[in-house]
Amino acid sequence: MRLAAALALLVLLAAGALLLPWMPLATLWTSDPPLAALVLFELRLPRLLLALGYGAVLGALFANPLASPDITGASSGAALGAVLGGYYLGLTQPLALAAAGAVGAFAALVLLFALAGRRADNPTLLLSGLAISLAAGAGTSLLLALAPSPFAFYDAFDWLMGSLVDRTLGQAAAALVPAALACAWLVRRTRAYDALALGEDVAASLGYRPATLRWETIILSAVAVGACVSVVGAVGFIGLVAPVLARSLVHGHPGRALLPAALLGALLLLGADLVTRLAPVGRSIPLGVVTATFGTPLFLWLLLRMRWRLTA
Amino acid sequence: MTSLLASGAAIPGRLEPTDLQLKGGTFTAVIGPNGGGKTSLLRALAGVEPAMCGQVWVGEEELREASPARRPYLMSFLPAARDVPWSIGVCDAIALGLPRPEPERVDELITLLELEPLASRSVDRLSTGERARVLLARALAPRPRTLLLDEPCSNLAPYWAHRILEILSTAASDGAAVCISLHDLSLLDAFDRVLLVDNGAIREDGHAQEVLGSSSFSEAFRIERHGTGWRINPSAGRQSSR
Repeated sequence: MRLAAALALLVLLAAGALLLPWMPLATLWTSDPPLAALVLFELRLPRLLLALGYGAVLGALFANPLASPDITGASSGAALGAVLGGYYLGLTQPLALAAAGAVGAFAALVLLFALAGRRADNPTLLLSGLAISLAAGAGTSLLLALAPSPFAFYDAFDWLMGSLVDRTLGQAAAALVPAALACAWLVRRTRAYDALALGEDVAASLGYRPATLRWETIILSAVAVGACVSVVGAVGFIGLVAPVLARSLVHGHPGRALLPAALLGALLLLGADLVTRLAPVGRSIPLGVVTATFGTPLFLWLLLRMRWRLTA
Repeated sequence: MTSLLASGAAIPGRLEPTDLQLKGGTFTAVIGPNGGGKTSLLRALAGVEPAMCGQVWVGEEELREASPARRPYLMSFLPAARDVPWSIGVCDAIALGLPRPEPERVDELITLLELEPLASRSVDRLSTGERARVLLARALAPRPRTLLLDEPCSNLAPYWAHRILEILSTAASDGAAVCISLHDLSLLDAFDRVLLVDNGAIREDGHAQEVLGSSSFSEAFRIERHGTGWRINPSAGRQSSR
């Protein structure tokens, strides 16, 4: 029932994302149909696909016990990789930039596990992820400040805050095809993630290989996050909010949380994108600002709940 | 009945190469001082230790070669740690022990371990003793041929320590090879066989009274029999590892 409602809402939002704002499109449709089709398929469709795909990827990736909440630094690492690739290595092709993003995310994740240790607890991972995130953010700013192009900061501003505007279908494919393949592979590991819910020893005793699974998750998360960040930028909070909500819907079962988390991630990002377009403030609000606006209170609530549990 | 057979099972620096057979239908206790190697022995037999050498067979099947669909039926391992890193429901946690969904088996175990009042709760919100029963139910779920349980009776009220021994003894009577580590020496009469592990090797192997009366026991535990109880063995030397 809840799944059907979420799907219906997703379809509604998707239709809204394609058709809203309606007036310019309706006017164009009567005066210049080819241009209207161009707006619909070249501007709004890639935007819709990216919102759905990136949201779903963030939700699903962060929902598994190995990657949540420990891939915090991945997005920042991906952004650093993409800036390095774009401004210093001269990469221009969407796939090459996606690969640079993936390498950055992978480096951040490897560093995270090296810092936090193999059996790190969640607070250690969170703190390590935060440190890597801040360091990568500072590195990205430094690279932009020293970039050969004097307009690097200006060019990168929208992208750094996350933006779905003016992306082509080619860019959408460069982000979403690797991300979808990585996520499909991870979804195949649902049973193994379930086993990890009771710890690595139990998972090993059930015939899974936690170390292999960890590396598989790191590499595939890096590919998915890196590819998406290189096109859309680092969008915060979706990867935190969607899995937490999904887990509460399925009573904590990790495997069963993957698809609802993907669905919720898609819903949230699509909703946030609609807000950026329809908010009556004169111009588009950066996507990351909208996700942070609803994500921050939830994050604080989670922190308080964790603190309450520790002291209870 | 299927036996577990270990050949040269070892963990460098923690467990010497060990050959051991645990026959189906027998209930075995592993005792030893803290840091003596009980957990290492169980982890090696269970094939969960990444640094492990040697081989472990359950019947005709090499344990570490078995697929996730097969392995739960060959062996269940319960670690001593009762932490559950993920917030998961009691029924779901028990069902994780089963390669295929079997709701009737989950219900059966909830009744067996008297978990009905806790069934709708999250495992991470239970007390340590309650969590121990849920995790034990997970280990029992697939009716495995071998059960290797690290301190399943620790941190439990006396009723549950005895009840769990009774449940495990029944599993052994039904044909499983059951092997558990424990510290409470007063429970040893419930076992068919006792292994004394110290300094990373099995030092004694026999019936409870034989092992408890051995010089290895006195040296390892640094206590000796005194009337119906125990007292500190004045001649036992201090060992740096304990």
